[in-house]
Amino acid sequence: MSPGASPLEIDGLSVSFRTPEGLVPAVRDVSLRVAEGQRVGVVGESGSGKSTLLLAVMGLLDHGVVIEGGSILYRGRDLRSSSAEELRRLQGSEIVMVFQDPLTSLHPLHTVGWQIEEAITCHRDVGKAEARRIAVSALRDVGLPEAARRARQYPHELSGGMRQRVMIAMALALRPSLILADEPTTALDVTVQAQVLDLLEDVRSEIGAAVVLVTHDLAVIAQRTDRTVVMYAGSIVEESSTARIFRRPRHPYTAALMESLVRHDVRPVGELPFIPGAPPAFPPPEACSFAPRCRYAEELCWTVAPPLRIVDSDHRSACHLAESFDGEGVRTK
Amino acid sequence: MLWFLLRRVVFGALVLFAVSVLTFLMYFKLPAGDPARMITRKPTESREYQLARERLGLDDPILVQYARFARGMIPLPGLFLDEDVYFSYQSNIAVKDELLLRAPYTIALGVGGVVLTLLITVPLGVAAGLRPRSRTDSTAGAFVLASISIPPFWLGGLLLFVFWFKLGIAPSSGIPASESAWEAVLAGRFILPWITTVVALGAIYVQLLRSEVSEVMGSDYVRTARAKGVPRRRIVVRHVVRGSLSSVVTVLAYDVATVVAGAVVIETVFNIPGIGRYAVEAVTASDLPVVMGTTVVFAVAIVVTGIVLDVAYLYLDPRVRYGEGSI
Amino acid sequence: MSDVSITIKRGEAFALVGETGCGKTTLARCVVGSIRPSEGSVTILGRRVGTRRKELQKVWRDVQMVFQDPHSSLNPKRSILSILETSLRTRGVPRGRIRDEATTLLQRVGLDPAHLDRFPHEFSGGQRQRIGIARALAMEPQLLVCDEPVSALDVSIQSQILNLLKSLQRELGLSYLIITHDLAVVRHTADRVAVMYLGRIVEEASTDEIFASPRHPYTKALLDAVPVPDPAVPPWKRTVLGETPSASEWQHGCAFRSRCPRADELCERQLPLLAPMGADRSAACHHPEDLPEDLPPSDGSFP
Repeated sequence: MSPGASPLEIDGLSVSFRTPEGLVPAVRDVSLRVAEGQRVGVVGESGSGKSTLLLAVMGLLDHGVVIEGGSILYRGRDLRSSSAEELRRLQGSEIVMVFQDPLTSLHPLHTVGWQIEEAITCHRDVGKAEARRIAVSALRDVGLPEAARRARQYPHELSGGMRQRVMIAMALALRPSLILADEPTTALDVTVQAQVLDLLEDVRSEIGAAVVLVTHDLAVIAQRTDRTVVMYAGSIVEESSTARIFRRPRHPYTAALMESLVRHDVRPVGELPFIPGAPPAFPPPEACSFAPRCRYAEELCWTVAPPLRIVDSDHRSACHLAESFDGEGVRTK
Repeated sequence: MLWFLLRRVVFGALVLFAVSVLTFLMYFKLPAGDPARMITRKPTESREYQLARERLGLDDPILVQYARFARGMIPLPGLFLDEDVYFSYQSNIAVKDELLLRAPYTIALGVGGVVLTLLITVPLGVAAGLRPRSRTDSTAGAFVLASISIPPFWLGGLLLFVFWFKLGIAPSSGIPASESAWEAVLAGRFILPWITTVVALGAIYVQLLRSEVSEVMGSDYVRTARAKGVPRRRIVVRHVVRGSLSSVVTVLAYDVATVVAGAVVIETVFNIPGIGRYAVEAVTASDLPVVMGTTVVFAVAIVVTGIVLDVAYLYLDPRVRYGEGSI
Repeated sequence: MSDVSITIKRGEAFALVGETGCGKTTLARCVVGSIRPSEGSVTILGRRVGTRRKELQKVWRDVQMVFQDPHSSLNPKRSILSILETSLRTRGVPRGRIRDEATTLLQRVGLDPAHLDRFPHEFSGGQRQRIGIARALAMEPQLLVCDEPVSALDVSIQSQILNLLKSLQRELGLSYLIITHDLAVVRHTADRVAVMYLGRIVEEASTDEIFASPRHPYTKALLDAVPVPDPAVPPWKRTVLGETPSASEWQHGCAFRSRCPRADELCERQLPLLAPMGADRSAACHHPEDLPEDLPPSDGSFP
């Protein structure tokens, strides 16, 4: 493992679900690089494979889910070929995950403090008293009032926002270098969402960790990430810096997604644009998976799957028509 | 907390009252033997018979007769199961004394049986839950099926036949009158009965643990534990089993109560002089005081178990303590 | 929930906005009759909503509910036709005409009538929500109560459903009571909005007015907190901190004062009541935002 190497490098990763009908792909040939301290947003709808991607990196895939190919490198170390014990040592201390629903993600029968202490003692050789001190301090760092008292409470005694703060405290107590967040604020009220995202950002920047933030919420991506990765039907369809993608998307799906976004700060004019149809359950390998819903689809799109390629400086897109595609939804050709 | 206990105790007393009234009325409704006849064994015209009738108050109104028994239910020394009322019509021995005599055998059978059951079923159930669709899981499934299907009396008889009659390694059924419960245990007289108990009780523990463990392993909080890098063994013990405890304890509590009431069938097959047999034999002989006495003891055991269980929940599941806990 | 009064006009889409625990779901359930209010009443088309079965059956001709979760609100064992049939028969449609009516309903919500004999699991989330709407429409109600109609749906599908709701409102002259926490949904579907906090209405106005010039600090905070899909806009200005206190923690004065940057001694002492903030709008605050100088304090007195 080389500390200087990037915190996360995924190359050609494919993950499939084992079903009675055979293997169903959930993540198809995904390659992605996260630099030191970078904030990467992965956006997609249900079935895009974004959550499965995170779980694969974390080594938390269920029994019926298999990695079919590709590599996952953490600072140069191949996670797929690491032993279970090596992986366990990284999990919770250097690579951490924050989940969506803090109520079900915390053990209902143990106090919140106990759960944070556990994360600490599993990785550091400290006594109970010291672990408790670190845990309470972590709770204080996430802005939980009366941290010592709260540590002795059970998850159901705390509000949703407090629980998510606990999850963050637990994840960041050991100062990890890679944070994987799966829809961390989706289950929260909007005023709490903003506070929690602020918190995540504050703590993250303090320890200099990289974040991979998975969400379906484009607005969160826009305001809280440096790079954006757009996933559709298991593959990456577009990737670039957040500013560039939002200024000028190079994939019809990204553009359509932005167009169909229901916004509160925009005066409604007539009907809202939308994307007809739904994401495919079994995308055919020999065509663009978005073709059935794409208003620009040409014959090529139906016969050849577009590869993810560089279409502009620091901008990749998996669309045959990317070069001529103008993000406003109008073709420049 | 005190309020909580008080409410439970009051409710328990009501249950006891209801049970005793029902039992008493049933006795009166069923074609029962004539108690005076049973005791004196003299014809109805004889003087002894008349005396007995008077002494027993058999011509008093129902309420008065019930009241006599009710007095014996008050848990104060001197009153509880008093000898004047609670004595066997058949043998004339006080119920209290007989119970005390028989209790050790039932306890030996019950405690040993339950402990052995837990020792076998808990690891089996947990292991099966951790490895669904494996051989361990199939073994557990087979055990559950066997446990549900095999009648204890048949199994007991079979075990005796094989291990005592044919192979001669196990001691015979029955316990010599001179042997105390402890001596009987040491003599190995309880081994076959315990094995039978495991098969009789075990199914639910295995099945419960198997399904709960398997479900909990897939839960979000176990996923979090794995993401924290918690070693697997610790996850199983501190997260998974801990979560399944309250269901197991619930079943366990009532099994204990049942076993205290006497595993009648097993006691009969292995000829163990326990409380269960005592109660059943009394019913067939219409021996009312024994029936009432043993019913009271059983009811008290179950009520107490229920209260202990409620208290245990407060520790096992913190979600119960607040709000719905109604302490 | 305390002291809540709203009026929905015919053909109007009224949104009830708030976060967890504000009481909006409770209100919705009172409107359809599944909860009996401790005080006050719900009147629909002049008829009071009681909780006795016979009264409710009349009410359900006029009010129907569209549920949040399209996955659990449809009986998986029944075909779409069968699901619609129940409502149609309750309305009194004779057996022979059921299929025709069901066909019309599906068409109206944008689904292919050939799917009538299929089962819910064969449809996507968005399609199931359309079926839910069709079912509600089967009773030919005047008022549709929509509880978070799109929050369980993918982003690209949400706009489809919202478009559908709007067009149905036009075509059928429906009134809506839309319960949501999502301000974007409000902006696109509602004519009027009421903002709720800890069981009370803190502001009520037309949609345009609320978004252009919110008067209550909580409304403003809500608007500020919603993220905007534009990298150039910095995230959320910290106008409010902390979380909604539980109902038992708040004893007197304004419920929002623990989190309000403008709270003072008056706010602690006296509960602000809804006071007019302009023509046909009101807010319950002693120190409303952007307020013209000459408005009296919120003591509930209307001129």
